[in-house]
Amino acid sequence: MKYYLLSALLVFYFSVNLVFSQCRDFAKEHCKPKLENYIHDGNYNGVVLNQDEEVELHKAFFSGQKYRIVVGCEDNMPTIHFKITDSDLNLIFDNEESNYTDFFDFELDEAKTLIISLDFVEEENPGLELENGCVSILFGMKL
Amino acid sequence: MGSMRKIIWGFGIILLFNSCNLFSSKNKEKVSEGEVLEYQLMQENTDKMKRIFFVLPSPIEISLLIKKSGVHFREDLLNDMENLPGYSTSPSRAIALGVYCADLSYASLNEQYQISIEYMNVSRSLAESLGILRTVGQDKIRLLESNVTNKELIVDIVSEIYMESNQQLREQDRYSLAALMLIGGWVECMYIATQSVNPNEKSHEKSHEESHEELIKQILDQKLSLESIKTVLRDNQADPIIKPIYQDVLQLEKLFEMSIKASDTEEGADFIDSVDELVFVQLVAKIDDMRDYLVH
Repeated sequence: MKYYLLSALLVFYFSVNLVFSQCRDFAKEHCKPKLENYIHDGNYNGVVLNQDEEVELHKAFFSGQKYRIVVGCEDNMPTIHFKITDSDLNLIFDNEESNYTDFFDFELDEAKTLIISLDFVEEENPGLELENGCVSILFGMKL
Repeated sequence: MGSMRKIIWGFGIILLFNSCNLFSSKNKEKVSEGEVLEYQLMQENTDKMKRIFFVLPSPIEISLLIKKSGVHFREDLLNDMENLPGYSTSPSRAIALGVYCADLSYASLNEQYQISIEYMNVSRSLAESLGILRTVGQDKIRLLESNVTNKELIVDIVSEIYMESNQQLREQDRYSLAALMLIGGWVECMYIATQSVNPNEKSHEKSHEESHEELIKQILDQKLSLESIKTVLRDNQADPIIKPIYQDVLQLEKLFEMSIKASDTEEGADFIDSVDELVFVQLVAKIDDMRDYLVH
């Protein structure tokens, strides 16, 4: 019995860590290059997201700094929809109005906490897509 | 032979169980992997489950703001590398890793290449002592060996060390250590920023004075980061090392609020005129105390 238990624990531990490190590698290999000449701030914001879930990130951004936000998801997932609002929920950017672009460059006149919300666009003919997968949001800054 | 068969069957059954659960679309359990912070709130929306994360500014971001304010680099503000042998427990190493990552960010953005390489080695060594592997790819290390004055490359390596360290700690379910690392980095950056400014110093050099005013503004803007900081600490309050830090942050929050005078500044007046110098001095002292607690 203890062999079963030990095996279960080992497999669970390694499989969970495998998924997590795969998401981290995905962010590094597929999303980070999209920061281009913006330097990555070192924060990793990645999660395994189901199609019927939404992610919201709250972060302070400061004046005098040019930022780029990049979003990305694994292949075979639906298109990502993301929007940015301030803490009073005033809309700053919605990628739906920009052909679902995967990045946004901005600079603020004054420091603000922004809310970045991300979900998947609902497909008319779902079928081929995975039901969940890694998504990540990275922040870059101009040196 | 019988034992081996049991192990193989065990693996087979669990793999099946695991693949059904871990990758199922019905899986709504909390995915602890997340990004940045400890806090993950599941909230029922009308039609979608919403996960909320609070993100702290990284040492690279704050160091860049310090650099852009125009103040000069000061090596004496860095945490001495000779303190390294004193960090013998996992919590003290996690804090020190955050602190040295902040020092490394500050040094590299100020093009202090020799110091950067030394602090990079210290940070990687601390990360390894915490069981964090492969913080930086060998290809980048080789590239660095032939480009030791490439600022972009050094900052990129700093961001990888910071990201890998924090994320691997979280993936290993060592959440309080990940939180201590984040807080160590933020406090060290705030220490460098606040020590770089002297509110009582009057300078005849306009650019010098403007730099200090800009830095004071950037320091006080960090009030916006406190919500994320409180969130990460609140979730780990049971930890006896984190509890006093949380109390310090609550006191710091009050000082941030009191630093800006409420009503007696005229519209259109300079930002610096709205800063209460006495409270700002207390805020600087509080950050000094917090940093002292963290590095010693």
